[in-house]
Amino acid sequence: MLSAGIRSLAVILPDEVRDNDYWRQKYPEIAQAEQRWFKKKAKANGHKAQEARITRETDSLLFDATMAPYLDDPFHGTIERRVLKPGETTTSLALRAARKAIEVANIPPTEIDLLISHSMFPDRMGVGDAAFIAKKLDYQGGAFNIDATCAGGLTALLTACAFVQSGQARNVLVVTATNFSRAIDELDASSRITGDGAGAFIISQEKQGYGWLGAKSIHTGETCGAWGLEAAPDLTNSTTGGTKIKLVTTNNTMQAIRVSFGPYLRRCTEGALEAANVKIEDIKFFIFHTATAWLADYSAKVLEIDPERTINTYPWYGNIGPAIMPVSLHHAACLGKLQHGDLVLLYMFGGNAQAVAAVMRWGDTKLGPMPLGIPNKAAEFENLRMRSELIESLI
Amino acid sequence: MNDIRTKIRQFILSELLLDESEENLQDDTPLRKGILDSLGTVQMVSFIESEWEIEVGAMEADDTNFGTINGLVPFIERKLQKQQKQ
Repeated sequence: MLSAGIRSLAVILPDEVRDNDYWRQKYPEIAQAEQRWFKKKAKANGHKAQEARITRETDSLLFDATMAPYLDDPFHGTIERRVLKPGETTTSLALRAARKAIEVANIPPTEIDLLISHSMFPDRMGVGDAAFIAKKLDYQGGAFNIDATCAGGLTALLTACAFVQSGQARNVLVVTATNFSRAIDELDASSRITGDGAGAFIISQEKQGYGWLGAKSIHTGETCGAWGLEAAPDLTNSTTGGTKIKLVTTNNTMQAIRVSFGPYLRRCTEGALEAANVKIEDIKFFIFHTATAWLADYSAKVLEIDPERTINTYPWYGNIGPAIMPVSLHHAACLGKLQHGDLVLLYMFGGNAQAVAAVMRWGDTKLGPMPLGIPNKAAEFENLRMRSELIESLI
Repeated sequence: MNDIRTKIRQFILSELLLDESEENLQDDTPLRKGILDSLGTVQMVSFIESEWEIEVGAMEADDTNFGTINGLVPFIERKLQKQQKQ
């Protein structure tokens, strides 16, 4: 069997930055909730009481402890996020990432045999973005869509690797894009913790021992029903027919994550390590599903690893769904946290779909540029840490 | 039963309804509209699990069980009875 790895990786974050003032100014009740939170923190109640109740070491209680500092914050730890402007679409964002990945790979589109797309969510009901992206590229190969919700980007990447490993494709373009700002009503609390972004890979044959070494996926049927989708009018008129896919979170959403995220992380990681025939101490760097402010910290605790061995892009972008994986991987490499020959473990959790972990050995991946306004020095990047720390310094 | 009801009420008033008058929280007050959102539900689950040493499943915090105090009390009682039988 051939080896397959990442030849190039590019990410695109929208230029539009939405900080928390957007909600404070439009919705006074959110600003008031924040003021109440400031007062509560100043009195140092609540969270300490919550942490004091933890007497048993289970994944759920560990989750509660890492979540506690963000519970009463109406922005739940988010500092800023990137959002599409009216007229921009999931497809246009994905297309920009695809073009950049092709450019830095220095490969003619005629040598790409397949395009795999995962969008959350596509620009129309029922059909994904793959062919819509393909027709805008100078490209004649196949194109299909994959759906595994927030694990879709990693699932598409591994599917592409399988095509290259089996010799069915020479080079595969993988594109994943997230458009939460359009899919979630801005009065839904989830809109304050989510943003938009896209990533694209060229997957090609790699030297033996590099690229994808092993993976493990498990369905997340336990979470079915914790999120829902429905059709809704698109007031920005950016989507086909003026109808968009609307993401509806339920009151059970976070409980479903709380109960299942850690156990799936542990089981998928064990399976991926076994498939790759390596041990956890061999892994240099970890890419986790940072869909909330505390999931990087929580994941590190579940696996009992040093949190310095991972990256948290959440303070900059919020939850960007399936784009978390390419963006975190890209930024880790750009910031020098990931070096040639390092083993990296990636874990993504897709509610209503599957959780998946993969082990890869990092090769000679060509990288697109860091997004505008994002520092490319590790110290400056990490200077904007958790919002709770920022607030602590103000009180 | 009254002990469970009282503790649930106290938790909601002290942790979730900071500025709310006690009279505005009745046993049939809908909790899903503005009180137990996604994160509020997790706070409530965490409280219940630590207070009564029971576990709440991924999809058990639904509208029937967590919709009102009147729904929460029998839910906890059933969990406790099931635990005693095991």
